[in-house]
Amino acid sequence: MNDVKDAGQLWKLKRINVSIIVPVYAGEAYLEALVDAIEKVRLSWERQEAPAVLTELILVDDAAIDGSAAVIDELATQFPWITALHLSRNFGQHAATIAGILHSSGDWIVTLDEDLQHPPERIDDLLLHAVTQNADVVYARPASASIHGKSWRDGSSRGFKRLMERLTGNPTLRLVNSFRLIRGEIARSTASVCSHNTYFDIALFWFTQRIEAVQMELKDERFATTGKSGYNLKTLMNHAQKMLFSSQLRYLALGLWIGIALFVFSVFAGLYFTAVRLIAPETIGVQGWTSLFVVMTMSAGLLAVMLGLCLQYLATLVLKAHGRPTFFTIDRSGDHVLANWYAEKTAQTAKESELA
Amino acid sequence: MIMLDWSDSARQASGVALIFGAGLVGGAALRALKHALPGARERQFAWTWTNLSAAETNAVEAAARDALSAQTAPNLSVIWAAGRGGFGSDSSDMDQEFQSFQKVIGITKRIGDAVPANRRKFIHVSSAGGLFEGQVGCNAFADPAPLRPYGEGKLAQEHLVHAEGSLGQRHILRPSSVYGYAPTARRGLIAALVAAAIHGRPATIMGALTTQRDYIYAADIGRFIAERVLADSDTETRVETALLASGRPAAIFEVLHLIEARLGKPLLLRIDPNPENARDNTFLRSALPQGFQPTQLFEGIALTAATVASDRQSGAIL
Repeated sequence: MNDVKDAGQLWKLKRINVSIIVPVYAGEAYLEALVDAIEKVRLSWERQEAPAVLTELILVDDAAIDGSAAVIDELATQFPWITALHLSRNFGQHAATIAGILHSSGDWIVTLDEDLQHPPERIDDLLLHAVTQNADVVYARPASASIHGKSWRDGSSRGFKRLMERLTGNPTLRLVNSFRLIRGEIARSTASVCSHNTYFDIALFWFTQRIEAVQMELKDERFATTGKSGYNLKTLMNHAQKMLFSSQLRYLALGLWIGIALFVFSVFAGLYFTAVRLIAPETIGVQGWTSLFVVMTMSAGLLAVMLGLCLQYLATLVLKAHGRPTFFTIDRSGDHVLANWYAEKTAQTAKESELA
Repeated sequence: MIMLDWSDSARQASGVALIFGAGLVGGAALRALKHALPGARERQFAWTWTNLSAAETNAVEAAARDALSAQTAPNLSVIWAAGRGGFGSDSSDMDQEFQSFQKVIGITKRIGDAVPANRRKFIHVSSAGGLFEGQVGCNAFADPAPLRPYGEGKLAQEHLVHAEGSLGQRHILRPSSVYGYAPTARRGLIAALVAAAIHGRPATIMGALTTQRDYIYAADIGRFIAERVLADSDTETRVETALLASGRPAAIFEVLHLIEARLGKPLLLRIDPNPENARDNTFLRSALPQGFQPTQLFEGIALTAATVASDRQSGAIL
C-alpha cells in the first residue's frame, strides 16, 4: 500500500515535455496570432502547475512563398522556446512536418497547420484522450462534415480516404488529419524511417495500432473565405499517390490466389476434357476447342501466379525500403502522471462549481 | 600532450597552444588548428595520465617558455580535453582526474606569468551530458544538476576555472554526445556501430532504442576551439560558457537506421533490457552559441563511416 501511495505522490514531480511542430508555407498573416494562442496554452499550463510543459514550438519554413521566413526568425529571437528551421527548398508539408519532428524532443508531439484552423487550446483535449486511453496517436476529427466550406473539397478528401481504407485494410485512414498528437518516441521513429515518398500517417500505423480521434469543430477559414489553401490539386494528388505507394495493397495476395485457382482449374479441366475426348468424342462439336481452352486457362493461371509472386516480392522490398520495422518497443507507463492531473483538475472544477 | 607554436603573420598573431588530451575532441582541435595554421610547429610530450612526473611537467613548461620568449607579442592558449572519466566513473576516478586538472592549471599559471592576462586563454572541455543528465529540452538558462560522480567532477572543474581569474580569458565548453572517429580515441556509440556493421559482428546497445541524445560531430567542436584560440585578444578577461550541441535530438533507433542506410549493411544488435544509461538528454537550439553551425547527423555519420572504412583499409584492427 505504501508503494502505491508513494507512486501517487511521485507523479506530481514528473515533467512531461510537449513539442509543437508547425510547417509554414504561406503563413505570414497568421503566425503571430498562432504563437499568441500557443503562448496562452503554455502559460496556462505553467499557471496551473501542470505536469505538461510546452518545451518548444518548431516553426518549419518550407521555403515559404511570403514573408513567413522573416517572421519566424523574429519570433525565434523573441521567444527562446521557439525554434526556427529553414528548409533549403520547398519539400512539401509532409517533409516539413517530418523535419520538425526529427528536431523535437518532447514526450508528446503536436502537429498543426499555420493558419489557425487547428485551435491550440484544444491540445488539452487530445492529451487527455491520449493519456486516459493509452493511445499513441490522437487525431482531431472534424465534428461537422464541412471543414473547407466547399462540398467537393470535403467530399473528395473523405471519399479517397475511405477507398484507401478498403484497399489497404488500414482502418484508421479516415481519421487522418494534420492536427494530431503523437507519442514522441513513435513520432520520431516513424519520421526517421520515412523516405521522400512515404506517407507519414501510414508509416505511423507500422509502429502502433493505438490510433484514435477526438471530435472537435474545425474550420478552414482561409479556404472558406479566400478560396486559397495551403493545398492545391497537384499537392492533393501527390498526397494521394504517396498514400497509395506507402501502403501494402491487400488485393495483391488475392491476385496470386486467383492465379493459383485458375491454374488448378485448368489442370482439372484438361483432365476432364481429355477423358471426354477419349470416352465420348461426339460430344465435342468443335475440333481443337478443348486443347485451346486448356492451354489458355493454364497459361493465364501461370502468368497470374508469377505476376502475383513478383508483386508480393516487390511489395516486401518496397516496404523494407520505406523502413517498415520488424518490431518496436514502447513505454506507456508515464501516462498516468497526466491522467491523474487531469482527474484532479476535473474534480476540483466540479467542486468549485458545486460550491458556486 | 601536444604543443603548437606559430609565428606572426599577416592574418594571425603569434602564439603557443598547449593541448592536453589528444582524443576525439583534443585531436579534432589539433587538426583544426593545424589546418588554420599551416606553418605551425608541433611537438609532442610524454604527458599522460600515468606519467605526471615533475620531470615531464618541467619539460613542458620549459618548452612553452622557450617558444613564448621567441615571439614578440605572443598569445598563450591552454586546452584541457583530457578528461578520462565517463558515465561509469566513480568518485575516485573523478578525484584522480581533478588532481591532473589542478596540475594543468598550475602549469598554465606558471607559464602564463610571461604573457599579459588578456592574451592568455584557457579552454576547458566539460560535458553537457554529465551536467544535464536526464534533462530534456534544456535551454540557455538550464541549471546543471549532475546525477553521477562524473557530472559532479566536471562541475567541480568548471568551478575551479571560474575561480582562477589568473588564467585570463576562460572558455568552458560543454559538448553533448560527441561522435566521430579517431584511431586512438575512446569509441562512442556511432563509431562503435559503424565498426560493428563493417565487420558484420554484433553490437550491444546499452540504452533503449528510444533513448534520445544530442549528437555533436567532434570536428565541429575542434573548429569552435580553434576559432577561440585564434580570436583576437580581448581587452578584458571574461568567462564564456558555451553549450556545444546540435540542438537536434536523435533516438538510437534513428541512428541505427541512418547507419544501415549509409553502409547498406544490416546491423546485428543485442539490446540491453536493463540499461543503466538510458535517460534522454536533449538541448534546444536557442541554447547554442550564436553562429555555431553543427554538422547534420546524416552527414556526420557518413563522414564517420568514411573515416572508419579508410582506417580499416589501411590495415587498422577496429
